Amino acid sequence: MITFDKFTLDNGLRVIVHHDASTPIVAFNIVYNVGARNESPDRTGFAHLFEHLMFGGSKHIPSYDEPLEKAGGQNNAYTNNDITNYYETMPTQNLETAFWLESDRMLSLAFTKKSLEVQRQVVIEEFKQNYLNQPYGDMSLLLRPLVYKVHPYQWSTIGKEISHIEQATMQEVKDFFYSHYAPNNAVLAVAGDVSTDEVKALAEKWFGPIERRNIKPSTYLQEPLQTEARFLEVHREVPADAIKIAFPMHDRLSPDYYAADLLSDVLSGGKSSRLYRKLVKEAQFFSELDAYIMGSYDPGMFVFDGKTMPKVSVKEAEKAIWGEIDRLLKDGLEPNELKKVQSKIETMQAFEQMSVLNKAMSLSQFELLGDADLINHEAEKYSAVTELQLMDVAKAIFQTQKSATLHYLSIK
Amino acid sequence: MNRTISPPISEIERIKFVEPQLIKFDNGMPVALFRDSSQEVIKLELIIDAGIKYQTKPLVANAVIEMLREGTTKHTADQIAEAFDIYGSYLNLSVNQDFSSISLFTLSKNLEKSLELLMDILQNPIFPEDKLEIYLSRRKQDFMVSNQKVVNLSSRQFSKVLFDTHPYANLVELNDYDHVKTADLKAFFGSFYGPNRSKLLLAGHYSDSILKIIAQAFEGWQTKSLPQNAVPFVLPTYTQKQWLIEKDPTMQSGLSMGKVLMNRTHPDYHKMAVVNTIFGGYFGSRLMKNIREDKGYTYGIHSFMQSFQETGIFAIKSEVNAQFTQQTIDEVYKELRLLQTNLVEMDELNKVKSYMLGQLLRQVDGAIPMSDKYLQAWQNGLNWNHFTKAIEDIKTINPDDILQLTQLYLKEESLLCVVAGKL
Repeated sequence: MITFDKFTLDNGLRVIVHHDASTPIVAFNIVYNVGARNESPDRTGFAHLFEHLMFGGSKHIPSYDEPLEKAGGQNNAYTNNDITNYYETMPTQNLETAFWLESDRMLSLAFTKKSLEVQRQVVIEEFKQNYLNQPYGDMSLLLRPLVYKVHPYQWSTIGKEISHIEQATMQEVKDFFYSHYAPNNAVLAVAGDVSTDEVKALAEKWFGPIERRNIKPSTYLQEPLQTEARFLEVHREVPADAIKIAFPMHDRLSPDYYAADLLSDVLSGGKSSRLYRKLVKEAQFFSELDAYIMGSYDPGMFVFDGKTMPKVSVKEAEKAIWGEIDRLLKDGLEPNELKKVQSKIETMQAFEQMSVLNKAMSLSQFELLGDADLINHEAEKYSAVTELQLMDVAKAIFQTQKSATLHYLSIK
Repeated sequence: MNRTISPPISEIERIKFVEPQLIKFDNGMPVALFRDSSQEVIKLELIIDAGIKYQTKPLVANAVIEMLREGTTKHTADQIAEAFDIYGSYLNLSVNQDFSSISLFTLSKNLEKSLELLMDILQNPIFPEDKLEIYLSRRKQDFMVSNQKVVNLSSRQFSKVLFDTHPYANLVELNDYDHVKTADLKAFFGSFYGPNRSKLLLAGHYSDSILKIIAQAFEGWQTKSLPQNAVPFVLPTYTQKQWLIEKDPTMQSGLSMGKVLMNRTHPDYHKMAVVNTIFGGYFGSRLMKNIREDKGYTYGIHSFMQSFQETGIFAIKSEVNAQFTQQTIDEVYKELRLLQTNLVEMDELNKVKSYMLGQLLRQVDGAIPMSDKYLQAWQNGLNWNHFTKAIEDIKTINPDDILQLTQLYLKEESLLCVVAGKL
């Protein structure tokens, strides 16, 4: 049980406070309700570029990192398709520095030309490092548009193509900031040896004066039901063939989300899972094979992702995955199989909740999803999943006409 | 309210290091206990003096640890995997140049059963030939993929030239995956896995009766004869300073630079850690500021020190826009010369001091991180005094020290440089 207090400032900023007296570190996490799904199709990669610009100086503070490091703090940020998340961990006595820095960059960035030019280059290097100059690095870029035809999940957070980043103008950057970065579009969580009164006073002082802003409403469409299997084949210079098969699945708040997550664990979570045992170790079709879900806010993807062994054709590999899907749908679960994945999740959650940073992150993100208290019900939702429910979810997800298959073939 | 002025900050006065309870099991195996009952979880870590440096064939140390759970005289690989999963226990296996390590993460209520399994794989592995073949062919595939990355190509070549004939170079070639046999694994396991070559760390919640069970379990583990410990390192004579592995010129170059320096036991170690942090050891470092934040040549460039038993290294790594590889190397040398000729401003030095103390504070936040940090000292025969000295050195180092240390230890001509990509 993670206890917390919650209050909202007049400008709409929601604040969560979790008290943990056991640590000399305080965690400060702010999540903005903006991600790659809020981008326009000809300016993709913007939310992520923006995350970089947030470190290029704000209205009253030329450098973000220097004062933070002087206070013994550490920080980072990440962007995904739904959100942009910023965090700091500090020695508790220097908590106010985090309030000062984060509130100033919410108030306004410096918007210097230099920062935009340099971060544009840095992001292009990041694009090359992680996607283009990386064996198999573009697989996820190829899969998304196969699964999503209308929804903005069709592009990755890094963006569809480098040119969108190259062409970004300062005016577009400013517009993006004022339409998404605002107290009424963010949730802050503070976790550590702090009192709610103390946090309230700091929040009023630093964030209170920032005015509400008009948030650009999300106008994108939800993905229509897929009715036909989709297929893409590409050739690349890689040592072995690879395959991804994706199926549409539930959104993050759906009760079936938990069953789908457990289903992915039954298939590939750990050494005793089905795919690992049958297709990696016994049949040796794959050098690696995973099944995982994208925990996105809007309806997501259930993905099979494998690299084949030499001499195994991608067709055989694909058939083998379907063989395991069919076996599951036909025979159901083995005794203990569900209990096993549930106990692994129980252990993982216990370890995760030991860090104040993890707690602050979860609390703010669950609040953004609707209620911070959802964090305290995750465990029971996982343990409440029954075999019947899991099998129903499996039947609903694994349908040929809803599949999207990517063959990634090696040019030797 | 004036937003241009920083709120007052106060320095980190002290960092609390929790003393472990140090005991020995009846067979002499040293144990460090970090009891913390705030959560019902536990981490048990076994450190075995069985690192890469002892192997006479490439890949053997890694293969041994990975194959422990592939079958014992009592259980099949599937039964072992199934049982660990049923208890919701996670096993982390790792090998470095000096040690092999087995960590068990579990809920305290499942420790006893997980321990039984752990002792089985530790005492009775059979290293079946067919499972070994599967393991090796998968790793061979990973190796081929990893060799497509410029950063890995440059790192491998860098280790090779830096350590030369010493086993720390950890040279692996593609066909090595075809020549590892069960007999190699049995021989390595037989010589290096035993309680007289191991240490145990326990962090989290456990009862006295569980501790007794753990003691009994490890006391039943058979002692090995013939301990072999030192593999002394002798600095090679370097006749070449720069290497180029040519790759796609339109993308990025993998860059590795550095030298053999010192390990934790050296009196200047912590002071050099400060030098390293200023130079390239954190986000605000000179390398990052210049090469990423000013020039945009890279997504990241870092320097670091790595400590081994016999020696240690100082290195710089990056993946840079291939068009600017030479400019990046020039800038690295330029930053080094600056440190050797100009005194660091107090403002910058104080920032680095606060940052480093903050890092140390974060690294010992909680019983498990605390035990992980302690292990860094303990496996080198040191204790918390090592980190108390770190705090002292960080607090007292001055700009003159930085200048002199850089002149003494980081001479430009002493650095090796390996590029995979384009020069």
